[in-house]
Amino acid sequence: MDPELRLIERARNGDREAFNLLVDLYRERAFSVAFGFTGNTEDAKDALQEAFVKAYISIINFRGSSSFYTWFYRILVNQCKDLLRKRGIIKRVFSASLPGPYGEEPAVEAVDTSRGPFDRVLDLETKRLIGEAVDKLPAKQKSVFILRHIEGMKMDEIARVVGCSESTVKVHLFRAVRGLRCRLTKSLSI
Amino acid sequence: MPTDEKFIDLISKARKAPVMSKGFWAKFDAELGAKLNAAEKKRISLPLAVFEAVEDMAAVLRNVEFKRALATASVAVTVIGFSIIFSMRGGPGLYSVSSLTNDELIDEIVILGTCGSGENMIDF
Repeated sequence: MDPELRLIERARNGDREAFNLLVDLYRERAFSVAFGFTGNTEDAKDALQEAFVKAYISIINFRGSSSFYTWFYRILVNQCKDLLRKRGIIKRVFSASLPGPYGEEPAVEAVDTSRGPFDRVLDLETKRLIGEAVDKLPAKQKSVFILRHIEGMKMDEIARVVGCSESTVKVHLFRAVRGLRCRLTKSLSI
Repeated sequence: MPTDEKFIDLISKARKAPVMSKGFWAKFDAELGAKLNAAEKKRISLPLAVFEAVEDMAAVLRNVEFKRALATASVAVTVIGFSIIFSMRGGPGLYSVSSLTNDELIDEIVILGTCGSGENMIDF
């Protein structure tokens, strides 16, 4: 039996230790999805924790018809959407990388935020503009774009997560890229 | 690299999550643990509350005093009920107006008209 399936089976029987191991397996990948949605570490952390709590409560209903991470990502994506809706974040500034009010370094507990020459070129203003453009996308287009281009998921997996057909996913993705291009072409001079 | 790919690459790099420190994950795990404990307590406490309510009700039903009071009340209701039934026996009873003939109906209306005055009068 697959070790992951064994963990899921144990977690379904109320084994907290097994659930913690599943959290360890997926938390970092899932965090990047939550960050893609929220654009800041604090909201991403909250959304991810709430998604894990929901998964813990409802894992008893997980029948294994899809993979665990597809099932969990569906919970996470819905949680991110709920969080953004509750907080009314439509135009969130990509604040995680911005300095504080007194010019201090941002309070992000990151190990290293500069990951190569390309990142150094990407200045704060560019990040802010991109963040705003991503946040302005309709919810479905945003989900599809993040899952495809930030999480690197396959089309069929995305279709299962967002609950629509592969061709619909492709349409959403095409529209998302076109929308981003429209918004960013002028401001970034691409 | 085609323009579209370059463009997408630029966006995904701008929106990519930073690599979080071990301290962050330790804090994350501690907070998540507390949230899971709270969720577990809630999940256990709900069926427990229902079970306790049912048990309380059963305890009341098992109480000897309650049984005696219930039996007394039942007997009282039965006695009062039968006495009302027997007292009504042989009396005129109630019948439907629609079952009366025209003459009987006129008689009834005359009786009603003569038995009261003022507010009891039927206004035709």
